[in-house]
Amino acid sequence: MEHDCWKKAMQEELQALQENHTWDIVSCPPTVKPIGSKWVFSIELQSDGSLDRYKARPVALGNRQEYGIDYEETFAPVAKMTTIRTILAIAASQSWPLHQMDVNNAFLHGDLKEEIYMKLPSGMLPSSSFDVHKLRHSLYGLKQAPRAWFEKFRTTLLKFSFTQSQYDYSLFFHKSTASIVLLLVYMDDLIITGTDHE
Amino acid sequence: MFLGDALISWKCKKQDRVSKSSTKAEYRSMPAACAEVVWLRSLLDQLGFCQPTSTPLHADNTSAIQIAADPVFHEHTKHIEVDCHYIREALTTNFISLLYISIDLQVVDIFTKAMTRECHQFLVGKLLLVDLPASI
Amino acid sequence: MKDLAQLIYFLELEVHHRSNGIFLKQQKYIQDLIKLASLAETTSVDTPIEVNVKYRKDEGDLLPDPTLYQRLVGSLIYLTTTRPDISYVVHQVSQFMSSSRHLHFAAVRRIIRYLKGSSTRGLFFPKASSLQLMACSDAD
Repeated sequence: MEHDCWKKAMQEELQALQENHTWDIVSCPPTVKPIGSKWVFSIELQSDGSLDRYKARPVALGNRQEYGIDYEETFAPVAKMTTIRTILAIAASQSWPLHQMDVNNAFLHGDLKEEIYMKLPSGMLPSSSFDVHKLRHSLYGLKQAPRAWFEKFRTTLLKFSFTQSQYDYSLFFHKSTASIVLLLVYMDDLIITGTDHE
Repeated sequence: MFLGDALISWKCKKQDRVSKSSTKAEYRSMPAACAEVVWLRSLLDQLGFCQPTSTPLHADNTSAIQIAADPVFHEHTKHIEVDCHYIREALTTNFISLLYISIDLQVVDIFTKAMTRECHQFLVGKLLLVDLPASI
Repeated sequence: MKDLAQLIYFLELEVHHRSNGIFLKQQKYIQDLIKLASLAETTSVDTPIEVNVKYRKDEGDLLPDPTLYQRLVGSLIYLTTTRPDISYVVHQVSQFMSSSRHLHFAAVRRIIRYLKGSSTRGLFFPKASSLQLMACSDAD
């Protein structure tokens, strides 16, 4: 039974990636050596230890990427612990609602600046041996995945009139005369709080 | 560092220079605390929680407080010139105010020394570290 | 995007909402650490470090394999997020990551036994608290 769970997880993931236009299937250019990939399986648990879901992801073998050719900057800001405690203390004191969000497939929303060609592990998707996947969006395992996603998230929030705090780059807020909304980002986990629901 | 009654920030740092006097050692930990206060005040202000007055910074060494408050105190302050300047600036811009707290009451002791069970328990209570039995 | 849920578990931090405020603890993380250190059957202690003990770099025999020490201390460092009461001792033992000795390992075991006896402890952020900042500084 477990075997079927994994197969289902893999199929769901591939479908999501295809719907997201993560890649185009192209003939591999002769001068390019595509990077490899592999499947990574994990079981997500809830905080009390019970099963949440099976997860399967094709992961680009990012450790074979070459600096300068494949990626430029990899640093992605993560929230400082003091900021987290401060926000929680404020939310408690003001009785603000506190919410969290796990952006599904968060890293797949990042756009890639570089041209990256990847070979999917054998056995998945029909293709000739010359075909590779030219990535349009970033994929897990690519060294720039967290930063690419954060960049996309950041620009989207700025479009919605959020301000990024210069005192902690993972903190975004939206202030109006009567209310404020705060967003704290850590990888693909978000904390949302503020004076009203939005 | 407390926000109201809630503990939000703390740091243990090894002194990177061996100080000959307790005053100097005390004085060295102040710039770090000061910097943290300045950063937090800015963050809180940005979120709409501007601090109405200067932030009290408690220290249990009166000489250290005096050095910070008085620009012309002692010859020995030559060695800690940069730190002095930073703290004095924070004082004049009214970001911090220096207050003396007696040695017995320092909550910060739990971050700088090993202690007996009674002292440890007492300070744990002061930090608002509470036991919450599991109920999830 | 997944729906909005109330914040209860984030970065292995447990957030408990109560009528008088919010509790932040890492009880599950502590239990996992106790298992990793194989200390599930030991008794707990009341303080994380003995009084008047100073740990030195060169005292005693080197550990044959420092990886467990490094893993345990790494986890302890993360635990200081909600446990300021172990900050001082964790700071001490983290100085011996590259040349850890049996005495240092004994200290780490003591910290974990202390945590065992206080695993439900965490930070409390009260409701309706003032939001006035206050700071203390000290040196030893």
